Amino acid sequence: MSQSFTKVVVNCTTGEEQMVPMTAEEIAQWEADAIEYAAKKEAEEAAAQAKAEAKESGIAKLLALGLTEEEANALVK
Amino acid sequence: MANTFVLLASVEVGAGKASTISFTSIPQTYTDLLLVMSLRDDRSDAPVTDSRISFNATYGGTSYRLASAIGNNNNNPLSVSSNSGFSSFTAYHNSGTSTSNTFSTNEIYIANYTSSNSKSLISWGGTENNSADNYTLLQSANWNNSAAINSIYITPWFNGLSYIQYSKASLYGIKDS
Repeated sequence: MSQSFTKVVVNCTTGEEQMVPMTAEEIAQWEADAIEYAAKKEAEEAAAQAKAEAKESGIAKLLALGLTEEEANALVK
Repeated sequence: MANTFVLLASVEVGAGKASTISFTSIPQTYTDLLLVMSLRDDRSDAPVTDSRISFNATYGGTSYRLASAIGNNNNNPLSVSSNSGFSSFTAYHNSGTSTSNTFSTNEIYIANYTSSNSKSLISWGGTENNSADNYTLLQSANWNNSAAINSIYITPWFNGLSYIQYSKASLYGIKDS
């Protein structure tokens, strides 16, 4: 059995407020957009993680060259 | 500088919950709009969820360009990102594992909403949680669309969720004189 969802709609001109069931088309679009958004978020988070890891690796290499932690952090800021 | 705020409409979600909050037939007689929200949804496995803010029933597409700064006091002190091609822009709201009876605080400023040029948007706010997992989001956005904004849609970004009772959204019109 499919779950039903409602939306609250308020008309800013008349002030009328209604609770309206979402249509099948609206729910389908909602699901499609959510999947698309989740994929974009995941890609964004993966890129941020990769960047953080590259930064950490860079700092480690600078420390191995003899820089202080403060100097290394300043360079890769 | 805006000097007048007029409450156009305000809605509080009832016991039946709501998956979408919609403001329709927005008067075209103001300069800017301010959307103020206090939200919580029924998601059971996270303290935060993104709210999706869209205009004129325009779903899908790639007309939003975003710049975001995200803070989290648990494991992600600060991250920034910039991207284009999004189909909406966002606000963070409370979800089910945040402290009971807490709600987010969000404001969305929409400049020149009747303009035929791209619309500038600012979203700021965050979640309330009495443990170490609070999120805050500051996001500037650009909606690349020539249509005047006459309706606003607010919904959790993950399908199957609903805003719970006492969630609230208010829309203000602002005149520049």
